[in-house]
Amino acid sequence: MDTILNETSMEETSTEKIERLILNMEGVIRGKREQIKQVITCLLAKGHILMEDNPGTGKTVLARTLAGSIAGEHTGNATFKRVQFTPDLLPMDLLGTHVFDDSKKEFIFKRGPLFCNVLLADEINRASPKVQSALLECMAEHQITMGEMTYKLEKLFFTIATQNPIEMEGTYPLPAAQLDRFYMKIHFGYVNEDTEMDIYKNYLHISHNLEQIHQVLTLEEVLQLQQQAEDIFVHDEIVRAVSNLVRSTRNHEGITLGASTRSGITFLKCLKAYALVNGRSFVIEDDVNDIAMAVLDHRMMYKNKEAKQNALKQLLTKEMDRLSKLKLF
Amino acid sequence: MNIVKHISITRFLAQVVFLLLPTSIVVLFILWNSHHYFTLLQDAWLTQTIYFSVGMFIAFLLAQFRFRFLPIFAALLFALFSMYKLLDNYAIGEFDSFFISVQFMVFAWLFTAGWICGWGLQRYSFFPVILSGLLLILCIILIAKTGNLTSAERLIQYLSPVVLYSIYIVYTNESLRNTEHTSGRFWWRFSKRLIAFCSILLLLFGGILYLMYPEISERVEEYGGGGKDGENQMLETKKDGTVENRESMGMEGHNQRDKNPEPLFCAHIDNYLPGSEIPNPLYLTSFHFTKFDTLTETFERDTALSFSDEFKPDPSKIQLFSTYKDSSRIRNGFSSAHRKTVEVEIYKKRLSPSAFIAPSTSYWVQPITVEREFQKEFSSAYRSKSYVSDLNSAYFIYNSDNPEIVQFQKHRFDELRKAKGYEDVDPTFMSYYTFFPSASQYGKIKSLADSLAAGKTAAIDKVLSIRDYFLARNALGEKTFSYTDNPGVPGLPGASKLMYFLFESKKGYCAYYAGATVFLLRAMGIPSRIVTGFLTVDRSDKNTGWYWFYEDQSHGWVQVYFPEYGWIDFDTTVGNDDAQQSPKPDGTPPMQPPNPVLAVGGEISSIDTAKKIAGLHLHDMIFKDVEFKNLNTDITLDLKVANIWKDSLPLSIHQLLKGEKIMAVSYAEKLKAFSPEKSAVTLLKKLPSLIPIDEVYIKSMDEKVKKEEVTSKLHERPYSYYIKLIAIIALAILLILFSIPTIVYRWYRFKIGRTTNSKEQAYYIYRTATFLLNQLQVDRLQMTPWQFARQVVDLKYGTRFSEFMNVYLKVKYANQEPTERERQMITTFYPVFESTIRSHFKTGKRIVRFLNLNTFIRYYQLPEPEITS
Repeated sequence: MDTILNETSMEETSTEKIERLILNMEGVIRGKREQIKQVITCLLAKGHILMEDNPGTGKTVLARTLAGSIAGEHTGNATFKRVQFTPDLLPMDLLGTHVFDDSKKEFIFKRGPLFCNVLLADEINRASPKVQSALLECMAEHQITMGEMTYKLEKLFFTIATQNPIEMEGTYPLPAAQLDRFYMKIHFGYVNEDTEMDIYKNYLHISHNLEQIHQVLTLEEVLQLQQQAEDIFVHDEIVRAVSNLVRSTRNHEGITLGASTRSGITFLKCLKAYALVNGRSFVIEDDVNDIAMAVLDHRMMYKNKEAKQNALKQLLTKEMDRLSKLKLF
Repeated sequence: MNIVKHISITRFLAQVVFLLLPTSIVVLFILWNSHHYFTLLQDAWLTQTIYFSVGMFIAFLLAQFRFRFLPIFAALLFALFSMYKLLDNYAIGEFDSFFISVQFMVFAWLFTAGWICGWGLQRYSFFPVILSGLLLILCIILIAKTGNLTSAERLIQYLSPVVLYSIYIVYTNESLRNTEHTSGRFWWRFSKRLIAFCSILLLLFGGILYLMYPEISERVEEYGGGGKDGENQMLETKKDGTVENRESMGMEGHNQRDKNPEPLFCAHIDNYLPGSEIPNPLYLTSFHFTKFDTLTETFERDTALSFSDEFKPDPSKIQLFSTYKDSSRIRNGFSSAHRKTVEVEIYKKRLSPSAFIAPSTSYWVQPITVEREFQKEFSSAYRSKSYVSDLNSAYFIYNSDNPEIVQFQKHRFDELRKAKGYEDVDPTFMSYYTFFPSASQYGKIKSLADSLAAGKTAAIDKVLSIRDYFLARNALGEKTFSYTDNPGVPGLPGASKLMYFLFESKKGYCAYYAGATVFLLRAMGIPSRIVTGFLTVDRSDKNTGWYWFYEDQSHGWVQVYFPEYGWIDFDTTVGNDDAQQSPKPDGTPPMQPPNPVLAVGGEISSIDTAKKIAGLHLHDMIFKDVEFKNLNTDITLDLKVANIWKDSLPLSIHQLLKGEKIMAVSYAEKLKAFSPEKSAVTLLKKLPSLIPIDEVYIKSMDEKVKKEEVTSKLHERPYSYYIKLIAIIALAILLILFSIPTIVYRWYRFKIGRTTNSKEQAYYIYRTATFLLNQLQVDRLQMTPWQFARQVVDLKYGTRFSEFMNVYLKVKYANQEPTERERQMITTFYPVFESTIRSHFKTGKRIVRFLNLNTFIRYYQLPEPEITS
């Protein structure tokens, strides 16, 4: 484990670091390069990600792999916690609780699973809204307030929430305002036939990989990369495209609730991180095209199913057409 | 739950513009057409169209908001009824109420019709089919009612708007219903389709018309009646706009007379009632129709007839002052008693220059000049001589109150009663002129003829019995036969029009009366024929012997042969009681030029402008109407008082050139003393050596011929010239249109080479490359250009397009200058890329794809988003 870390020299470029991370994760999760990239994008944009799909498509594995790939400060790995959300889950199960220490004769705070680097909130929509909102508040504030005390979360705190499709029984849909906290919502989807065959043939090897996951980045490096993502150049026209897209969602007849200004900022952050993930120091139009759906779709409320499927695509097509024909000189 | 259908304003507007507006225009067209014939419409076609349109619009709007038809329609009817009641109560005076209620009725009908149209257009997708069917039927009824269909142009003019509308409305309605209107590109998509459809429609329609025009006009001529150009059954209009009698006469069911208020010509007929000063107008004959085609029921000329007395010279082809005489016509006229020569002068205005008309039996013609001040009015003139019977007259139909005319009528009938029977007449002649078709359907005419002729021996009495038959009145004192220009055709196709006229409708114009008369006469065994020409109307006594002729005076009548008396005109057409036109005025007759004593024609051999003397190489000469031809001598002309003309332009003697062909005319008194000799040589010897000349006409026959050609070509223009012109323009537009993609590609290509700025260059390379790929139909679908380059182009054609796109996007969006390697990439990329792409497409395929405008337009369009539903 350590050998790999030692071999990486300080001159290594951010592109190489990210590529290494992606490759490392791909060793476990097959045929999901785009999803891996999006997850890393959210990580680098200091955001959180929501994955929606049927059970058994590899959401949990992805989260575990990500956590395993990052070397923590104190222990071997970056801390990875997993919380299975159930309807009877209470907020203190997440945050932690004050317990009486007999020896010191005082209440001490027993930290909940939230105090970690990578949190997998599995099946978040099965928990009651009370628990959901407690989690989402922490995601936004990066701290927990318990009574008079405020506890800081880890510097790197990345939540991967998974959710089953709303249509399934026994779920509480996430409120729109809370959905907004997630930078992206991605669909995992099933892998294609060849990859699936590959998985079946090598499942032993793959599960072994999961056990023996290499740490390819230090926590420090991840924080550095996050810093680098902020310095990515965004052309005014890309900013305009983001603004156009966000604004046009508010006037579309198929959309009842459009995107907020905050979502525009999120979009820009994601674009920068995504450019970095793709090894560029600037954002291009294709970045907009690639992540717009993931960033914006879950923030919107649609009039009907048809609009849900087409409205945003329509707006995006229009904006992409404008960008592709742009004469910038 | 109240279900409210979402109403799209775009679609509603499109329906108003593309469905309602054209419908209104077609209704306007139909109303405009019908207002000519139905006085009820009172010329207010524009207002009436508005009634219709408003009704249509309101119904359309209400239907859009899902109002139920029946209650709304009932409300409309109630509103109309109460409006009517109101009008009825408040209108002042009987006349007013009638007037207003007629107007209101028109309004109510049109408004209701519009209402139903609007409602149908909104509610039912099949309604345009019904609507266009109804409009077509309406149009056909209109054409049939007015009987105005006489040429292919008319047919096309009446029908094509409605036909085009029918196809248009069905198509537009369908595509309006089928077009998705979720995006803002609705208008663009819809108008694109519409324009394409309309241009194809017009091209097809125009093409068919252009190619099939001769066939169509032939059919129309055959079945629709009439000729190609005119409506007047007795006249035809020539290409140069002049008018002449037709060369056949049928019974077409309608006759449009009085098309042009300009007179055709005027005539001076120097004929008087025997032994008096009262002018006796004569009918002017143009053609003799001696045959009858039973199949088409047309009276025809028989040019092969050996004993014809029809004199048909072409005055425009005879030299000025030359005479043309054919005395065999007099011989073939078989007449001797009561005949005299009558001179008639015809001054033509709109009558064709080649037309010759004169009282029968004519035998002599001489083109004469028109006096200078009348040349603007009259194009040409000729003098004719006819061997006319004393007993002939146009006074057969007007029963003038003048006792002298009454006396004359009586006298001529008495005289003709003295005529011998037909026993001694040449049997060939008799059998030809009494030929009666053997078809059984004409047996009824025979029995009618027998009943009319019963108890009458003299031929004239039989003729009068036919006249009396047509003038007879029934027990109520009403006329049994009447005049109409639109007698219509028998209901049964193929039924005899003649029989229909004689026994059923009893209405017709001259062709019907003349045709029936000739059948009755021939059934009675009296030799007779139809002649056409002009009927002389004696309207004025200001200018004795001058008569004016208008288009409605073209006429057909009957000539009857009496042994020794020859052919005599009888016009059995009854008067037109309905005619309300005021009598047409006579104009000022032209001044008659003096009769030339001498006319010489030849070439000028010498000219002396000082002495005003010219030598002439004489070719032909007319002296006192005696013509000498093919002379070959020289004479000297005295031009001291001569006026010189070239094409009615006066010239001075200095402009007269040696070698010019001239016609010199002399009215000199001193030449009148000489009498015409048998030989020209002896005559020339007697004449003074210096022949006084009054007028010199420089001949420009060649030019004249050319001019005629030019004018005829000018008149041909509307038929072929403009069509060709339009075709050429359309072709040019098409050519330009189809070369647009190539031109644009070349332009982009040119822009690459032009710039040195790598940013700009990269942009143009990007544009050129994507344009090329688009035009070659390498579809980008919903991909971004970069994805397209990576996933399609490079994989398929092995190019380095994605590499270039990387550089381009960097140049476009990054805040860094391109590196030297990237610059290199930009400058070297395109030629290689182009040739690689080219090598994957065959030349023919490339050319064909570059002609495709649809792909070209798609390049500039928003890519269609993938719609999943």
